[in-house]
Amino acid sequence: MTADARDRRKSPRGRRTAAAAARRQAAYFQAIAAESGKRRLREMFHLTRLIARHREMEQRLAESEERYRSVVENLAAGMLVADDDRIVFANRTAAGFLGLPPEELISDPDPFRHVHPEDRQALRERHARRRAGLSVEDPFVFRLLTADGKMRWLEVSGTSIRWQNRPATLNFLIDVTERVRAAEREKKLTEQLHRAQKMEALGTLAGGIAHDFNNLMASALAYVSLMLCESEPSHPWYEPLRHIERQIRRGSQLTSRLLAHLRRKPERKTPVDVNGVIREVLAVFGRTRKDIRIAAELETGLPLVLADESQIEQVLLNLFVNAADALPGGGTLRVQTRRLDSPAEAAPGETACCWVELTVADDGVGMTPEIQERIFDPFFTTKEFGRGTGLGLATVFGIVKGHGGRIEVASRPGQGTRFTIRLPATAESGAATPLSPPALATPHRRGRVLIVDDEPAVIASASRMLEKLGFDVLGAAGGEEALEVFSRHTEEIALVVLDVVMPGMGGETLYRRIREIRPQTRILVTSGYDFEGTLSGLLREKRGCFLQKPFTLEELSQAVDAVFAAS
Amino acid sequence: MKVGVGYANVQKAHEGGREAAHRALQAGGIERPDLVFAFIGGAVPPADFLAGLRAEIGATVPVVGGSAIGVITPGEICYAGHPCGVLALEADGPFFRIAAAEGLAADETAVGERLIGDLAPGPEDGALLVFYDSVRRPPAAAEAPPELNVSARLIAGITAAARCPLPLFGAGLLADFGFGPTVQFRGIGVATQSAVGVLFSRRFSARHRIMHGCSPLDGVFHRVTRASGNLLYEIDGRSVVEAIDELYGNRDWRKGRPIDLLTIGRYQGEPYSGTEEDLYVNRLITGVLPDGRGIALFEPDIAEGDEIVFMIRDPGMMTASARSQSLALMEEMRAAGERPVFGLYIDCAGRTAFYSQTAVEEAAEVQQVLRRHGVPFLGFYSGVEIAPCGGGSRGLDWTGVLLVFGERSSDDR
Repeated sequence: MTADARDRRKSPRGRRTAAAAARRQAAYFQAIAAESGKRRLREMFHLTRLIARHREMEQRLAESEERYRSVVENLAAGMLVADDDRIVFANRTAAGFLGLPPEELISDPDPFRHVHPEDRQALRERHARRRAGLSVEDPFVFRLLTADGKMRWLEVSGTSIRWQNRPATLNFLIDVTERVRAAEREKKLTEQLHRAQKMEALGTLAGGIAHDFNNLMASALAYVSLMLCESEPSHPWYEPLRHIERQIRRGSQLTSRLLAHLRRKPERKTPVDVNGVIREVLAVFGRTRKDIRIAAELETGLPLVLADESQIEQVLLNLFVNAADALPGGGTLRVQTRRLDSPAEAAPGETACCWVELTVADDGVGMTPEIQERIFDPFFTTKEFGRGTGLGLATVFGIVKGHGGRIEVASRPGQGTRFTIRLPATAESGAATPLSPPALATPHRRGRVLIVDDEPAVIASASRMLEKLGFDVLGAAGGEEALEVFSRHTEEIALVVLDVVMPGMGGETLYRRIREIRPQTRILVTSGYDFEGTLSGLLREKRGCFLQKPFTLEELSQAVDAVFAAS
Repeated sequence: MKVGVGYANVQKAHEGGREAAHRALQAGGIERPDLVFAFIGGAVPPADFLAGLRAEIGATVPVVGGSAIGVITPGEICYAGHPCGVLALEADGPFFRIAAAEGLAADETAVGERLIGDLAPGPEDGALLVFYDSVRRPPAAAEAPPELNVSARLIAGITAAARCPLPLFGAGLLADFGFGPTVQFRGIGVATQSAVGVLFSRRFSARHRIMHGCSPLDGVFHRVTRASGNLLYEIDGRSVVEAIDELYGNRDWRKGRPIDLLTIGRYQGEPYSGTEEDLYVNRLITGVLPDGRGIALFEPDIAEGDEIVFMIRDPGMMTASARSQSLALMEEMRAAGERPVFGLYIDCAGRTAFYSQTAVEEAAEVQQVLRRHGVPFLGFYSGVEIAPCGGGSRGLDWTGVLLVFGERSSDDR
């Protein structure tokens, strides 16, 4: 402050002037402060409004993102975005397919390593094409190897997008593992059905052939049998006749094998000790094939199976012969048995308490998958012409099926073959019954026999045999004619020998009608077919016996004796 | 003393109580706590929370606290969802007494008197903590301000009945920004329209700092020419509402509940003796009256003839104050040779980043400082903060009160 100013403030006027100036100055400062305060408040207010609006937008954005994230994360389909060869986004479902957290999948430098090697290249190419904007055919099914070592089938479809300004692919993944497995199961079932239908058709065909063939053989065998009966062993034709008889027998066995392939129920099912049968068959087989080593591991205490022992023998022989043929330079035939308490392969509804598993394995030449596909087909053989009929394994298949069992084959070329058969065990116990009934003596018979067959040759030959046995024979070429003859000679007829399959009135109807007329009538049923169907029930229910065509004089005699014995 | 802090934020209150308590006990290595402080968000059903809490701490341990707009712990600052904060204390020997009194809606002063009567403080006692129900009656309509219990009357009742001066701290509890009903944990049970007090023994020192965040808008003083209770109608002979309209330059501010940015300040020092924040007491403007004739304040302690200044909330100052005051408190304790044992941070809900439109939480500054010094603490967002200020304890608005209990370091004993 200058001296002049100090002087002015000392005077009363000066003091008034200074006070007025101070008031003006205060008002001036106050006005400035008020104005700047307003400006400050308004700027702040504006700023807070902007911030609030920005916050609100952020909030809305966050909520929107949350909504989209929620949708994406809860999709049942896997969703992933791939950029170059890296995954840049994966939802939980996509990561879950692999059993990995999404972040681990995203940080994976080579996500394609999770793809099955056989599908990897195709998937890479699809990804590259899609990223390049080229068309890609959707969907594509590939296999994924999960973190826990399992395999999933995924169906992928997608589109090309831009992700952070770079070309990428957006991929949708659906787990189709169950669908693929179901399709595989369906395919397998369809194949099984086709196989079964094929077998059925072939079986029907084979059954028809067997029937006609057996009828043809029946008369031939009958005459040979009669001729042998009339001949001394020293007769020059005796041995040729025996040879003819054997050849007819072999022909008959061939038809039997065909018939077994029909998967008819075995006739003589009894509780069978599979180990015992194996030992017997191995003993015989081992003597014929000394060039191969036989190793048998038979579990003790094996349960019995309800089976036709002769058919089980047939199964074993066929498998052993096949194994031996697969070991041209020698090798090992391994036979194993064991008890299975609950085989995974048991079909739903199976009621067996346990199963017997029989394994026949060789370390021989093995088979290709193509051959394995067909080995159970009838007449399919890999053996040179004349060495195999192509019915061995088809018969085995039929017998095993006929016993309610299962058969599997595992083979690789050069590594051998293993057949695994599982047969349901039976709760029944007891010793196995003998294969064949003891031969009966042939007492001299008298009386009248009515023989009914649509084959005149069979009537003729069978009549000769029955006459040889001492009977007086009446013949009828069909059911209607037989019924008429029977009605006329009801009381005289001691025995009716009837064929099952005939045109017109069949054997079954005739059987019933005869029983109605005279219930105690003795009836012997014969057939070129196997013994099956409702007739078997009738025979069990009433009294009756069955004789498979063709038959020898001796077999006929035994059957007749059995009928008479039963009555 | 063993101290543990736990936090949970789950929809099921029982689970939240259990989880927060379990974590507190685990963090403090506490088997049987002597005292538990608990604060819960308005969306948390208190009975279920307490049941869950008691499943962990037992049925007889006193629990003090209640509703809060949000919870602050060393690891969390949250005022969304279902926040629950628990601080458990276990000490050798007694160190506190608890009392509670109901009837705030009828007479806040009488409640204060009864509370202090039950506590009967003596020379051996230290700080008194009081938590009370801020909301006498929630807003009757969307545009109406709420009716609040008055901290000044409660404090008057307490201080008048206390036979010796007590440093009084505490909070008026709020459950949400809409001034909905609140609850108080009063030792064993739950109450409303009540105050609960915890009187600590002198065994622990209690040091505090008040975090501000408002500065004078323009430094212009206004004389209150018409006021009644907590309602202010005129300043300088004109409508206070019109005066604020002029300040904002619009009427949008009237939508605020409470009002954004602007508070009413009362100067506590000698006239024009300085501009330090401690010289002002802020009063929150809870809203404009529906008829537009006046404004409602959080406290009814401004009368005709008083001089006021308009204060403006300053986010930068708020954050800086929280940091500097926290650091100063720690330094003060260090200088006094005291080891911080545990802290309570009573923070005005208006200071949240959500409400203040700030980028950062000012409570994070406190959190950071206390964490760095290894001080376990529990904080919560309140309506009114109570702390000694300007010669006596009073209710404060728009502040944060950091209270840290300490004990003499063993080196100094």
